[in-house]
Amino acid sequence: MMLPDEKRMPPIRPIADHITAFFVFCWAIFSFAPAMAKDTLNIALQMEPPSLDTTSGAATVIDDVSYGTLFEGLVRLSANGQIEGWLAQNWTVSPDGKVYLFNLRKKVTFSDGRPFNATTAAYSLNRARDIHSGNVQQEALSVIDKIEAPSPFQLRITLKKANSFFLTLLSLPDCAMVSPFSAKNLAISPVGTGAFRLQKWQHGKEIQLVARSDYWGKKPAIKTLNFFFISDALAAYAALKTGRIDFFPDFPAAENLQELAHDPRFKVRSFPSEGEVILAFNQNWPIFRNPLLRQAISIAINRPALVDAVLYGYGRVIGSHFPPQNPDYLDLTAVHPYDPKKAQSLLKQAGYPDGLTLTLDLPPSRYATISGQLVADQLEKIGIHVTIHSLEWTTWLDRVYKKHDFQMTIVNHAEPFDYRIYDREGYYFGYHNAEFHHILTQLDQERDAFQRHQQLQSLQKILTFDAANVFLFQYPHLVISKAELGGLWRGSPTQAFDLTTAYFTDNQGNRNSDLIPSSVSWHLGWWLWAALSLILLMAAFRYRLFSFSGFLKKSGQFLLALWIASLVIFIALSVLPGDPAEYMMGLQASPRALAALQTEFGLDKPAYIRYLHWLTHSLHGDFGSSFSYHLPVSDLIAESLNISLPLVLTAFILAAVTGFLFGLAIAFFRFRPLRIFLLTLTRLGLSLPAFWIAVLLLYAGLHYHWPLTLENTTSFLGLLTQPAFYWPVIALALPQATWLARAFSQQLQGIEQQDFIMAARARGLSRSQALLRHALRHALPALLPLLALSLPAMLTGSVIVENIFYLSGLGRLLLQAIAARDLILIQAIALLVAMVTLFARFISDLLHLAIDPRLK
Amino acid sequence: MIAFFRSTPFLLRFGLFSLLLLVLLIVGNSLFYGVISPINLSDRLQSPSWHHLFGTDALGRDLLHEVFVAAGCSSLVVFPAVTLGFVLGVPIGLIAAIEKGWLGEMLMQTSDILFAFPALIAALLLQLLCGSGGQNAMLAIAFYAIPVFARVAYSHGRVIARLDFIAAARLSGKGSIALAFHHILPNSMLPLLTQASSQCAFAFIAEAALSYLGIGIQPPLPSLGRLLLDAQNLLNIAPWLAFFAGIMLFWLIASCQMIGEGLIRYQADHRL
Repeated sequence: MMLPDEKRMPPIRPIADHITAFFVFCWAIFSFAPAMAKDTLNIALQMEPPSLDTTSGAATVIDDVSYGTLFEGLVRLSANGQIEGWLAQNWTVSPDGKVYLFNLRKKVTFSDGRPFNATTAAYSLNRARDIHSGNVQQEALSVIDKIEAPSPFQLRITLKKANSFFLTLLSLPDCAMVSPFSAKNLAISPVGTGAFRLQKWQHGKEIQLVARSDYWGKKPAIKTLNFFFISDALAAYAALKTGRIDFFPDFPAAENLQELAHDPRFKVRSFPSEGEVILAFNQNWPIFRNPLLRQAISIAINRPALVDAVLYGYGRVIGSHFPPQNPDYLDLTAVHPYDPKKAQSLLKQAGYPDGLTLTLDLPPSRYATISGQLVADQLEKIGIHVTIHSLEWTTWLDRVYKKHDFQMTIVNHAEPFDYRIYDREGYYFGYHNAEFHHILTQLDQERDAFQRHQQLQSLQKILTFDAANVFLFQYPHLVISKAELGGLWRGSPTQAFDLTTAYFTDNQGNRNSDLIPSSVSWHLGWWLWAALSLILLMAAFRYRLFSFSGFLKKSGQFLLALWIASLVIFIALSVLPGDPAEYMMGLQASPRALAALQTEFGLDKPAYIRYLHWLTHSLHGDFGSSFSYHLPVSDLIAESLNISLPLVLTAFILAAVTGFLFGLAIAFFRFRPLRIFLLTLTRLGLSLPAFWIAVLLLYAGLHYHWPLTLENTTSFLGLLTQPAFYWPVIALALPQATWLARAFSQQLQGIEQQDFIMAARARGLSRSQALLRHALRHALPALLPLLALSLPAMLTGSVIVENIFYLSGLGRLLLQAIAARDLILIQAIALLVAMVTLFARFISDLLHLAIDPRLK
Repeated sequence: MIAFFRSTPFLLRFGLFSLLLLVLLIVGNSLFYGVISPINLSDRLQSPSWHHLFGTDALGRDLLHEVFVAAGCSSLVVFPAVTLGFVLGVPIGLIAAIEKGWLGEMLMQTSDILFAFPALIAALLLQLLCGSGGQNAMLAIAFYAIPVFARVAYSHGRVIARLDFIAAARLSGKGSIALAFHHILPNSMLPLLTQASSQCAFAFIAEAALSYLGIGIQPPLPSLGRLLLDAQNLLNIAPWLAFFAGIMLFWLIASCQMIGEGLIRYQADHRL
């Protein structure tokens, strides 16, 4: 049968492709990137938004992505805090303040092409104020009496009573304009009037927005917005440093700030947040009911020094459990000033003249570990000996938060208006104060603004004077952007940056990274591999490299080991303390969500059924669906292998070749200084861990401005043409190469002393001839099993190297899965790595059989 | 004693000497200045000077002291781990070597499967199970060392088990276990010690890697991997942090490597 003409591939194509690829390779190495105006903004957020609909979700991260970019409101707050028109050009208010008449902008369209007019505006507001809307501002919007559209571009809103807050309310993301035709699917396929539209959403990885050509207003300078999700401190740092990310609205790692601030490529700013870091006393413990002891500890801690050490001066000292940017804030930082002398006398008054010993349980966050060490050091000076326990998050949650089994802890309380926890029954630090309770009940009933202000301030005073906890500092939002990025400003009510006005001042920017989702045709690959191995196997039998029974025995062992490995992995993850579902969801899990998760993953079934289910599905390549990414695990792994496989294979080839050459050189050269030099070199290589080499390479790269950014390509060749790809390869290959060189040279030297080499020399062959013709032939096969074993070593080594260079390979995926407690993903990756290791051993055994006739 | 020492290869002597020197420095440092370095915020991130020979870290602690204590902490994880692996792994290998039947076969199969299990995955699983900390890092490293020692003991023991004096001992009525420990073990001690020293070198890398990932030794105790992690964040302002932590790791690993290589040389010189 003939294929249609356009589908037939001319035979010259692949060759031409290779030639072009070669030239591209040369060009990539020898030429500079072309100067192009950068119009892609890569933004990193700590969390992925659960949806993109600003009108129905409460998470502020939704606004970060979609407000102003996808959705727009009738009015908005300008940079100086004034209300200005947006989709409404102007408006008039009736003298009694009840009737608002908006004149809407004409020629505004939604991103699906449908027009925006007064009817859609009325629909949007009616939808938001509907009882069942799920809108956060639904209650506030109930001031609206009726909404009418007297003409296509005029909107009249009548209020029940005059309200000065009404325009501010309309400027909130919750009152954004939506279209009745697309309102149903707004969460996943948002359609708004904004300057951008959703291009694609790769769950767990990125959201891409592109500029619309039919936008009504000024066209944004940035044409593409890519949102990535990075919560890990080290990854965040690497992403910035390697130039992958241009803008970080909430940077997770303060310890990098000083360094980033020194770097002229970045701008570092800090904005206040709702997070208060406190040293909490467990007041279920009798000794902490003594206010004198609490005060003594409060005074003994030098909080400004703490801010300096932990946040490099970017945080702010607080005096109570209240954020300073709040209008009801009362500055109480001077109530407990640092005074170790007074602290000592207070400690005596409290009844501890000889000091005492306390424990401090710390969660694994860096602010806590550093603060903890400082606090221990400062308390030691007034005679309190502190024993530090560093806990894992799950252990911390279980022991400290749930079981209240601790004495002191340090943690960041990030929720807004969380002063209420001081009155909560059964809360972990167990603080009780009758006066606090009384004022809080009054506050809830109070309507008068001034009275509320007074009451909130007295709440703060009670907490401070009672030294309820030690209020250490406010953890800020740390904003980092590239220096050439301008035009960003933050609106005060939404806390979201206006991305439509952003622009790059530098026209010599990086090339746009081409972010195409990867899709490798795995099935074809599998069949090819199967065919290839069958051919190899048949050839092996044909030439009697190993016996059939030997092969059967080894494959039996391989399958048995694989089965046991799967069992071990399954059991290890099933006997985790506590319920796996609870373990995965963490603290915030509601019982209903837990039950849903349990049925979703079949956790309510007995273990052996789950195991059989998992095993049979894994054998079909279906590893289940990831809990944290909500994506099939096999897709996630396939995607990460796009990086890991080229990395490991290239490093493997590099290690094999250099190991071979070095080993040969060591065995060959008798010139003593050279030999010593080569041997020292291999000894050095053996003693340097891969990740230190990686850190050194990273340092050199940052220092000498080597290209460190790896652009996202799907093809092996695309990776190979990027110089940035070779740093991790070198770091990974070097230790293996030296190891191979050593083993190979020893093998060669051993053979050289054998009789047949002597005989060859006696027949008149020169030393090099004897080595290359006879010894090499015997030593080379012995190298093959070693090579097969170095492959799994590289696979595990790549976990760390990938993390240092921020490559989104298998290692990163594994660590992220562990951080997110995604057991399903961990299980699959562990099984995969075990499988590869076992398979490499199997191949190594077969090679052994083929080489060593004694084993036949 | 001295004569014996003279007869050993240079590398072995040098390696032992450097390890001994390091141990003395570690013990001296922790005895004189305590295990946890005092914090001094006014001296943060100072570059190396006469006052602080290695400079200071982000909390103003003297890096020289910290690095030595960290090396000590790492050693306290590594050496017990390798010893544990040795004590558990060697008997498995020896018994498998002398017992030709199903028992030996089964022992080696089990240890092979253990060996095939990737070390890092095992450590991560262990961390998920029992939480992080020095003891768990130690267990993970020991777990990985067991099959290695079993394999080495087995391959050397098998050769010795074929020799005539073993058959003679068996004829004189010795049981398998007595044979394994009285005759095979002393004769395969050197290769086992060689393996132990290179296993130590590997274990130092593994321990540093685990601490680097945050699942090894926990603060306030310092560890080399964690120092490297902290150093990486401050790479541009304080490169000496990464440098000295790496040097110390290099010192430890290189000493172990040299002892191992010296032992190989010693075997070659004293072949039966």
